[in-house]
Amino acid sequence: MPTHNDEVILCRCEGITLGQVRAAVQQLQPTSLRELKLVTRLGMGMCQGRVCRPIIQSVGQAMFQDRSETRLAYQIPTRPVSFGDFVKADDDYE
Amino acid sequence: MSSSPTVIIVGGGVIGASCAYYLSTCGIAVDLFEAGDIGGGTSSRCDGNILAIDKDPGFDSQLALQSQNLLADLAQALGPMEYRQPGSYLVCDNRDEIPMAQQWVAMQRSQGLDFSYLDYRAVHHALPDLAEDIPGGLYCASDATVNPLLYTHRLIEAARDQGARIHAHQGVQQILTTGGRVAGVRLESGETVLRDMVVVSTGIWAPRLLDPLGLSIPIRPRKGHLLVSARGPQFGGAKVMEFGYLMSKFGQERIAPSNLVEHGIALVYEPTMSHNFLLGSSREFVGEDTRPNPHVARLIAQRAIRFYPGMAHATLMRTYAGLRPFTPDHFPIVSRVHPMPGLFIAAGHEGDGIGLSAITGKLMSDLVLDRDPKVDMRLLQWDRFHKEDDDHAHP
Ligand SMILES: Cc1cc2nc3c(=O)[nH]c(=O)nc-3n(C[C@H](O)[C@H](O)[C@H](O)COP(=O)(O)OP(=O)(O)OC[C@H]3O[C@@H](n4cnc5c(N)ncnc54)[C@H](O)[C@@H]3O)c2cc1C
Repeated sequence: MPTHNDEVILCRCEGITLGQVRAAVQQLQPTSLRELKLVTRLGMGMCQGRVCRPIIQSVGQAMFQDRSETRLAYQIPTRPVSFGDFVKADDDYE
Repeated sequence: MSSSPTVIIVGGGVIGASCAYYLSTCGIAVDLFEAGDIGGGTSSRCDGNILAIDKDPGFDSQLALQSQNLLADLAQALGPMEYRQPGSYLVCDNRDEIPMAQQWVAMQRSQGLDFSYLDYRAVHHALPDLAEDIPGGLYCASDATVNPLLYTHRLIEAARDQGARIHAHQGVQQILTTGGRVAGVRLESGETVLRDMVVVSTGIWAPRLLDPLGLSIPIRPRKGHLLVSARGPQFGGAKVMEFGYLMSKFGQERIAPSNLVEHGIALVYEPTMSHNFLLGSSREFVGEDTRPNPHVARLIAQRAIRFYPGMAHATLMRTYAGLRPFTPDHFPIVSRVHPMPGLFIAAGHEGDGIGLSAITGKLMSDLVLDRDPKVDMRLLQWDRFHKEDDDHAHP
């Protein structure tokens, strides 16, 4: 990782710092990037990883040799949308 | 057995984690093998509700209540897991459901559960965002909620502190037997691990390990969707479901639009501590595919807006789906397997695995240590389905 400062923010939407990620790794010993994301909410906020993907990708590679973040997960909706508009859209538009 | 037995737990979802916790608390040497991530199966694709509100009065509700009490203790004993106890609501879609709701409250109260009926004024006072035409509802005060994945990890963390060995990303290929009893397991890697006992807690995948031993259990995956909102205003701090959810859960006839009934859709609203909310739910037998179906997701959103018109303006961020380990009578299997000494099953918790996890782990420690569990274990026995197919069906 480029810096060892615990204050560095990795995920702006959820306000997750490198320090928080390190603490979670130490306490809960996640074994993959998906587990780490689920216990810290890293990359789980409004941007859904669109902004922070490169950072998360490097965390995944450095900690778990996990490259899964380079793949785009199958997502509904493709971007955040109001529930009202989502209901109106038709099924094949995704 | 003179000294305490050595035990392998297969599966690191919430059920395997709870078994690992309670067994290691009793000083039993535990090895837990999980094929993927800890909690990576259904236990990370679900809500975190710990409910009595939707349980049949009697055995069902008493089991839920015991588990709620154990979970409240765990919330004190383990690290933070977003546990809280705001109670929960069932709301009625139409006047026809009102007498049934009143009856439900009366039955629960007669069993000593803390339920109350809410008339039009009371329900709108408690839940001000509800659509104006909702005629009434009910409230259960003992209901709680937790972050299910965090909770699973806290159980694992505590089990590890008590000496349990946790092996993630090490799948079990086969249960090994010798002379008609359990000998251990063979891992995917080919390695053999020998122990006195094996607990199968692999959720929807349990039949796959048991079939080769000639043991058949009727667990099937019942898919459910969840919609995740962005951070923003919540629609109340407690869980809210529609009364029709009860009927959808028990497969009873329900008066609702046919496309809702087809996919088992009923409103489930769950606020989280991350300042957003989750919406469910659906119940379908459509195989093991966990990719969300956009059509079902839309129907869930539509149903939510019917109860909460203001939700039309909230933001949908993500959708996912999980597979509930369904059994025909809606009770889990928590059992010794008599024909195969040393073998135990803890699986089939359908939509209640988080809520029933604590009592399941506790009961498993009783079974393993041959202590007398304070619950009628016959109703949870693995072979009950063969015996009386119809008599046991849920009312
Ligand atoms: C949409 C939805 C909402 C829900 N909401 C709630 C709720 O609000 N409250 C509630 O109480 N419950 C809820 N549930 C139900 C709950 O999620 C499940 O009952 C519970 O997670 C089941 O836990 P489990 O440990 O049995 O299964 P899982 O979590 O699936 O764990 C089984 C584990 O076994 C592993 N495994 C499989 N085969 C092997 C092998 N051969 N070797 C090693 N490991 C193996 C898998 O990788 C998996 O991790 C919900 C479910 C869904 C789908």
